[in-house]
Amino acid sequence: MDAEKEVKTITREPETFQMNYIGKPLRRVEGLEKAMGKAKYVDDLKMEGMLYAKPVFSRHAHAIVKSIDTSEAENYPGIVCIVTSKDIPGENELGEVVHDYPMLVAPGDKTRFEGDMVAIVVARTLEAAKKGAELVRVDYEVLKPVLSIDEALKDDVHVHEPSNVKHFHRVRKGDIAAGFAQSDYIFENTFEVGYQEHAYLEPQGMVAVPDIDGGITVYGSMQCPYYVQSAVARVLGFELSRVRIIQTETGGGFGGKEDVPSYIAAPAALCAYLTGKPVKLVLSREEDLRMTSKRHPIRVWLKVGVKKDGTLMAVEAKVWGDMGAHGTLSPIVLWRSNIHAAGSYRVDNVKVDVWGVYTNKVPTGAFRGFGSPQVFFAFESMMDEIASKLGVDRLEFRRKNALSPGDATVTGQILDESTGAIETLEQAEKLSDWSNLLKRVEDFNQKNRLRKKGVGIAHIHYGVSLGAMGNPLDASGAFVQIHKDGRVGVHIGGTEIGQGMKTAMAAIAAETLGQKIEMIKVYQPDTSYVPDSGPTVASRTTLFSGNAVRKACEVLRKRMVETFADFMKVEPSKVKVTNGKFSCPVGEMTFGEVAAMCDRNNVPLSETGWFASPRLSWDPGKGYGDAYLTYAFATQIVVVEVDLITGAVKVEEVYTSHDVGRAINRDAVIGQIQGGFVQGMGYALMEFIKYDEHGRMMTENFNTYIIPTIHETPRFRIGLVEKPFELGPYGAKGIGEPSLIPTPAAVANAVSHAIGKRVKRLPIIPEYLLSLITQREAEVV
Amino acid sequence: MIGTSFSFYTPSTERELLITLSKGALPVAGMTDVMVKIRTGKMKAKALSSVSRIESLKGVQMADDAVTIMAATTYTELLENKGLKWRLPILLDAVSEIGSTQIRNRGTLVGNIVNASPAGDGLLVAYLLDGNLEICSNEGCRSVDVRDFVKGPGQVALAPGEYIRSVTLKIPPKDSLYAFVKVGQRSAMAISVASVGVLLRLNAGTIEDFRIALGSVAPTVVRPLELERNLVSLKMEDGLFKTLAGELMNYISPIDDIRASAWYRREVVKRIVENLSVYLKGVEKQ
Ligand SMILES: Cc1cc2nc3c(=O)[nH]c(=O)nc-3n(C[C@H](O)[C@H](O)[C@H](O)COP(=O)(O)OP(=O)(O)OC[C@H]3O[C@@H](n4cnc5c(N)ncnc54)[C@H](O)[C@@H]3O)c2cc1C
Repeated sequence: MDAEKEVKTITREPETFQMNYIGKPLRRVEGLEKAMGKAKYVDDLKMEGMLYAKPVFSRHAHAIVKSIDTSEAENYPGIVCIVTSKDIPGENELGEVVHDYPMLVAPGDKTRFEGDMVAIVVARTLEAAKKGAELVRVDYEVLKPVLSIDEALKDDVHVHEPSNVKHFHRVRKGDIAAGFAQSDYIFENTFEVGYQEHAYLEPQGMVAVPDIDGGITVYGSMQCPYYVQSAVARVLGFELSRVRIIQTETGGGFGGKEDVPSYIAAPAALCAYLTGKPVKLVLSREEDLRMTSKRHPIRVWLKVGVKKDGTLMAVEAKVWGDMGAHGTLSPIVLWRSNIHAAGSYRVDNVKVDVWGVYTNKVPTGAFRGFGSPQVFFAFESMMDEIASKLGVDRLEFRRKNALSPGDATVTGQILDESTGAIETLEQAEKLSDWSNLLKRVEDFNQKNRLRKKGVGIAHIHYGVSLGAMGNPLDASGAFVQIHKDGRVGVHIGGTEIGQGMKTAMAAIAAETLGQKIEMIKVYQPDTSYVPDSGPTVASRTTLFSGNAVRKACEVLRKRMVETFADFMKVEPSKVKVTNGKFSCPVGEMTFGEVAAMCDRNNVPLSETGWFASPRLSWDPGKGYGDAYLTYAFATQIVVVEVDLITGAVKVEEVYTSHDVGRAINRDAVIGQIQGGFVQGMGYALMEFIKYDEHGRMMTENFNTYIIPTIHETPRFRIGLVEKPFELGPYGAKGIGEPSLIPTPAAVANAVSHAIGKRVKRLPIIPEYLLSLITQREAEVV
Repeated sequence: MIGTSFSFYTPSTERELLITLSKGALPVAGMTDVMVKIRTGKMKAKALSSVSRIESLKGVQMADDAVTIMAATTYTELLENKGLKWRLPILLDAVSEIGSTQIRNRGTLVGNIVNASPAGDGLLVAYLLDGNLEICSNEGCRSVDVRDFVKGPGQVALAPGEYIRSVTLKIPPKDSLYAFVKVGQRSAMAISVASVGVLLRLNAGTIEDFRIALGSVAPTVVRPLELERNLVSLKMEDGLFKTLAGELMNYISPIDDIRASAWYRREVVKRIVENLSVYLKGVEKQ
């Protein structure tokens, strides 16, 4: 790989004490098992008497189910049973936030997209289950499907009653009319952004098992075990105590395994409950692409007023998000669009409105960035447009309006000390050698007729954790147990989904306890150990679970220190614990020896930790207040080369600076930044979902849904700004999502710069770009 | 898990291969097309017989004016063959852009030709180099031009019981310039959205030989022979490629599909041909 990585740190608080793990590059604690193929993913689970389930999906995007005939399928060899809506003992409802998603469409009801399930076939083999699913005969009355935001807004065909259109959120700050009246220039533009598929390596899947406690245990690939627990309990009509969820090693999530695993677990659990046998339900890649959530296609209309001197005066935004057939998480995803639509700058007059619209397509949901990359693409495109009209340097224009500690955000939230916005702008400027870079690119463009380079910049902020809309969910627990041999077991409610959570938790536990990192075991999450810890989303796990682990470990460390001090007959303050050793002026013991001594003396060596978000003051009616606990900031500069003959774009250089509060595991932070960039670049340049006129997805596998490969991966220069966040464990904020968020905007701005015409749509596939290039050629001639 | 079963033969001689074919087996090579089609149900086969382990179907034979590539020779083996570097550099350019290393380790040129996709990169080069197939059965062998062999998208003149032994490609005239331009949705692991192959030989500024083949813009690869002939003996002048690009539009009939629109395919082929001089390369000396 030619990706050059370079880390620069410009701001760093003095260390309170010398740390062994925090901030160092750490090897992944679960890496070896994964690399050797030993890690157990859900499809690796096989159990005695296990049955296989295959859903019967709707053949139509919009249709009334007249009748379901299962007789032929039932007689097929190997079929155990065929489950329909009448077999559901609890509620026929999957939705976590919006309740409009029946698990199995009942006769007389409507299917609202091709991924709605009508029945589930349970069989002894996967082959028989597949065959059975083909043999279930469903009689439909086909309705006209609603397939675009425009069709949905007409509201003549309804996906759900009473309307396709829902006004979800608003921001109101200052006096918008006065803001525009005081502006010297006003800019207006509409931007459109498409779908994105998460493209996790492992498709969705679950194994549900009737367990020895008289309930159901579900194993599977997921981000949010507690969502799965409530969905299974709801559909089965069970008490929560009879539903236990254990996450298996998970091959990627990116938000795609936030709510969707509930929609796989509930059917699997129902089949297990009805048959009394373990049941496996794993989606094929095609089923996964058709049925499971995507990033929202969004349309953004923006109006921005500025003074001649470049001061932002007013921002008005209207945002429409395509929710697809079911509401699922849309209200909360679009809430983030609401908070971020007016950009990352100081501006006194703001008005934002956000609508969700139903269509007969795949339900859209959580995806790394959660409704913010789309609106930042729009806003940061406007920033470039304005800078070029004003004839000012784009970076300078951003710096002039950027947020500092003590400033108010677009929603009126006063920012804390951990606000590294300006630092990221300055670091990116240095990393890229900004003014020379612009000259270098200009030189290249002078010399080349058919290839043009462009430089793009984007500056973003990101509300870490769930924010005001998710306040009640924003708390996490941990359970830490030290065994008498000194080994440490850590249970948390957050999940490892490839992002490096286990390593971060092990590092925090090791650092806090003074034990060696290889003595820490972070278990697969299990809902029976740790109370509801909310979802593993919103870049919140290091912050929330990390704090919970730290708190539990602080108590345990204190107890061990006291036991050791007592034994050594010294003051506890004289005791040092580091790297698996307790020491004091009169002697030392290993961590294991102290643990054994505690065990002999009945000193309890298990403890729970809990971290909850402080209440936020957001007022949804007014659309004003504190939206998030804190914000992460980033500035990204990219260089692209455009082939004017074909419209192909290559991203060549990336300079990116991220304010992370504190990097817990330096290598993992770099990995997130590189991975987030590549995923954002795919969204910007090549990834799209295509539907035919009947609402059937045409791009149903990775031969037609194209994502970037290592060939498209550019060179990176990465910088970290570390301004510790006082509530974060060791000052950490989050990086999972901010790594991706600036990228679509930065890439689009670079392409616009290269061709001399504004890109207003993502993805910038060659076809769209060539249409801009030919328009531009016609204008110039 | 592909959810379907079939018999699989691995004969070690051509005679054994013929026995399996007489039982109804389908000849296959790297199976990089076949397995994809079987998994999605686009192809049903009760039995497959692989040519990959038949020694007599491996390797490349060089003659003065032509190169014969045996059916079981993989793309990787072609890329590693030093003799092809100056004889058929355009073939290597095309092959090096097919799929990925893993696909090239298995895939074959003959498989690409029989697959008869209008997007086949190897097929395009076979059109350009006047490829000729040696087709064998219990009755003996016959030879067929690739252009006559391909009947339409995915359709070829191969009867049950027949297999292909080899494909022979003509070495272009000495000092020819060449270009292979593939437009895909990304730089690797992508099917051509449009492709252009060109061979051009000039003599003191006059065109002596000109060939062009276009992929993914019609039901099969397009080779406009009449247009090619009209160019011979013309002076190589500014504007010639522009005129050519315009005329080529009459020979193609691209469609809108999942990967690109007809508009884009037309436009991009036109722009590539207009700017051919950017792409043309000379053969490196041995
Ligand atoms: C991920 C991926 C990427 C790809 N990228 C490209 C690309 O960039 N460009 C491109 O052109 N193609 C591409 N392909 C398609 C495929 O790899 C090529 O067409 C390849 O050349 C097929 O060769 P094969 O030996 O694998 O053929 P097989 O799959 O074995 O066979 C293909 C067809 O040829 C027939 N056949 C094979 N050998 C014989 C024989 N000796 N006699 C008679 N019939 C025979 C088979 O019956 C079958 O109909 C890609 C495929 C995949 C899976």
